[in-house]
Amino acid sequence: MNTQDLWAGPILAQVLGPFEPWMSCDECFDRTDAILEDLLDRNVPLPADFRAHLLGCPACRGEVESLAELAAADNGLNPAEWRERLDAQIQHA
Amino acid sequence: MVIRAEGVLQKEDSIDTPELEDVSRIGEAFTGPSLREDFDWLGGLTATGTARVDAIRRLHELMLRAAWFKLSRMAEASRLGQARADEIVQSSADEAVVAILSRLSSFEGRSRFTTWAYKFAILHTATAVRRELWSHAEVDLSSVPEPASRLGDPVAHVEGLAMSEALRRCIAEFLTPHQQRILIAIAVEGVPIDVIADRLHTTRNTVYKTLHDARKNLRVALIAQGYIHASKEVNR
Repeated sequence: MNTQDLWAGPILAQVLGPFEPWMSCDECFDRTDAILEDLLDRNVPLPADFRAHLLGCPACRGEVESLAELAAADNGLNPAEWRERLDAQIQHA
Repeated sequence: MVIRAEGVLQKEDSIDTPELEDVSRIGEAFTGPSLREDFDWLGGLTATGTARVDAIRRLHELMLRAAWFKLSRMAEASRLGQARADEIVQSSADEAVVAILSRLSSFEGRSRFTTWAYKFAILHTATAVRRELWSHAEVDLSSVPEPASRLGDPVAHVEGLAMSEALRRCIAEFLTPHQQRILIAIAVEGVPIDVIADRLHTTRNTVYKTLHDARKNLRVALIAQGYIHASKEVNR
């Protein structure tokens, strides 16, 4: 019988994905507002450790994306457009 | 909403707020409109009497808005039902206000005050929603399950077999049982990281560190055995 582990794909994605430089969830939380506004106001690229953390931590990523949308709306920008901009930075920085 | 805000006002009696002179020092750099607005927030939240009560009420309204926004962005939250969603939003806004007041002295003006404040409501809402949705789910974090398998097509089977075997062996040999369990729970079973932290009575930070170490150890082992290159390419 041909069988294939259901584990292999998801675990390999964890191993191959960028997860360094190290950043903790607490540090991500502490820095996220300043980093997002740097990107929003001055187009400063995401720091490598922040980006790696978001790629490796779906909970933090979801929270950062929501914060980006809220901050964009407050500044009269299109939240969806801004979220796409953030996602592009996370995926292809 | 007012009642909830008053509840927060009672809770925050014991909260350590920054000295007024510290806030004034932050304010020295405040020149633009948004920075002036930030200074107003800090001034109100560190004032006394009705000015402070009013600032806390406004902050609570802001947190309610952020909590509703976060809830609306979580597709899985539709399973909560309206009543439970309302409760989560209210309690998350309360908790966010208390957290903000206790950490007010850590606000350094590196972002707008509202952006800094929103993240507390977002965190509390997201965590509460995940905790609620997983509250009745059994999550076994005490043992390492056997890998599940399914019927696969012959080509995928041949290509993936070596990697699957290598992964299985490296996980068993190079990861601790705790690292194995965390990696599988997150990567394979899709258990949210803060749900795992709750079940283990630890922090999200600690669970993420375990996951990070597991990834690192596994990558080193797979590179050493020639299954992947250091450049991250898979070597089948």
